Parts: sequence; structure tokens; C-alpha cells
Amino acid sequence: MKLNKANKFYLLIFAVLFIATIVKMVNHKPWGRYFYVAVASAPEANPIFIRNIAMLTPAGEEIYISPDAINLNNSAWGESSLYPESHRSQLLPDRLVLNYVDYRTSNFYADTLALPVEDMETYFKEALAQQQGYLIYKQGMPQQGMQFHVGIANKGHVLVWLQSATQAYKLMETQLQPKSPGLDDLKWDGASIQKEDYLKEVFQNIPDSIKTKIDEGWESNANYKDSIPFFMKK
Amino acid sequence: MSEITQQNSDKAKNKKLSLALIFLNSLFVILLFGGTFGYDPDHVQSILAFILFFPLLLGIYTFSYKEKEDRWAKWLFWLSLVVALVSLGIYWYLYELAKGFKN
Repeated sequence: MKLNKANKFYLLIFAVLFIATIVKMVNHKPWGRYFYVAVASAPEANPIFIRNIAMLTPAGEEIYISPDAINLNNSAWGESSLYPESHRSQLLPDRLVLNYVDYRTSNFYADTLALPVEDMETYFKEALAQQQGYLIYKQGMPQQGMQFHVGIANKGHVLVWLQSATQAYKLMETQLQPKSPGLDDLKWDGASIQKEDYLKEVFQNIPDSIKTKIDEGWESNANYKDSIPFFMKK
Repeated sequence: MSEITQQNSDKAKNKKLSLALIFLNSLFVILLFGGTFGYDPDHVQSILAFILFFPLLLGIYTFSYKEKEDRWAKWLFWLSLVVALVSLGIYWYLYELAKGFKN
């Protein structure tokens, strides 16, 4: 059979679509995608105000982490009451962006931290193979996944761990160095204000009872960085 | 005589192949632009991609096979073209409307 012009054209279109599909598939990496959510917590005794927190995937997608519980002083070390919900599987994050102010020391911290993607992948595979994943809900349907937990402790210590249904895997631990705030770091209501005024604004919700306790030296030498609560294993 | 028969059977085969390729190409368009590799929960993108791409596929068919028995394709082509233009208009309208709500 001799192909006519129309079919040659159709085959050309098909070739283009086929190649585009392959390219898109390679970029999308369906084999390296998992269901997960990321949460953050800080100790009750060490209030902080988070200005920016997010994880980033190698493709540049931003994984949202809610700072609300921490910023409203409703957080406790290692705890999160958020409903684990994700509408799709995603590439594993390779960076953590963090920018916050510490109440006790009035120190500003801002950094982008590298996350160990290979370790994560191992832990994900291990937990999912045993059906021990942390349940992530996709439109109400439970999916096997994991939960990232960013713990922001005192003195700039940051701990990142991964939770399955039964275990916690430590991913990273570091101590950030305080930075002096720039004009952008002191923005409140669209205008840059004095550091003292800024601190007053962001920490206005801390109850006086907590402030008094802190002034009296409550947990002033606590060492959160060595403890992953609840599921400590590795 | 047999040459004419041969030509006719070639034409029939080509026509069948064209229809099969229209189907296959439509399928790939839906896959490529839809939620397979991205976030498209309501299938808006795949439906729009199909609606816009289908007239092109059918247009090739219409202008290649102009016999009486292929007239359905012509009608369907013009119909799909109108649907595509209207959809594009609606999509553009919604896009601009959404912009207005951004702030």
C-alpha cells in the first residue's frame, strides 16, 4: 500500500506527539514521585516567628509548609495537628528554605539547606514496601506516603525528619548562624520598620504567662536538637 | 481494470488508516496535555487541547478525501472548528476574568 499525503502528515504529527510525550515523561519522572506532606513545629518554650518556610523540588516546585501553628504560638515540639492531604504525588524535595526570628535571642535566621534526597528515597521505599507509610489523603482516599517534619529548636538548631506510620528517620541536623536583618527582613504591613518595633509586632501574640516563664529561665538550656519525639529510631 | 481496482483498494486502506491515525493522535493529545504529567483535576486542559486539535486532524481528512461519501467529515470539520473557536473565546474570557480577581 502506498501512503497518501494525508497519512504522511498524520504520521508526522504522531511522531511529534510521541516524542513530546517521551520527553515529558522523562522530565516528569513518574517513578520518582511519592505522596507526602511537610509540617513544621517549634517548642512551646522557644517561640519563633517564621517569615518563610518551604521545601523545593529539583524541578523548582514549592512544597508548602504551614507556619500558622508556630506563628500563632500553638505549636509543640514534634507535634502537628494538620490533616495530611496532598492531591498528587510529587518529586522529593532537595532544599529547605527557612527564614525566621527567634523570640528569646531576637536573632534573625535565613538559609537554604540541602536535603539528602538519596536517604529519603531509601526510607520511602522501605516504608512503602512494608505498607508502613504515613497515610496521606488524596481527595479523601488514603495513600501510602510519608510526612516531613521540620523541627525548629532553640539557638538556631534545625532538625528535619521523615515519619512513616511507625518510625521516624532523621534526615538532617544543623545549627544556623544568626544574620543581621536587612530592610526586607523588617517589613511589616508593607513598610520597613525598626527592629524593636518589628519584634514587638511579630511576637505580640505570645501570652504574657509564657513571657514571664521565659524571663524566669524556663527551659532555657533545653536541648531539643537531640530528640525526635514519638517515633525516635535512627 | 485491475489497476483501477488496486488504486481503489489503496484509497480505501488509506482512508481507514487516516481514521485510525486521527483516533491515535487525538488520544496522544489528550494524554500529553492532560493530567498524566501535571495537575489537571477537572480535565479542563485535556478537553481544551482535544477541542483545539481535532479540527486540524479532521481538516486534513476533509481536504484529502473529497468524495460524496466523505461529506460527513466536511460538516463535522466546520462544526468542530466553530466549537474550537467558541471554546477558545470562552477560555480567553475566563482567563481575563480570572485576572481581574487576582487582586
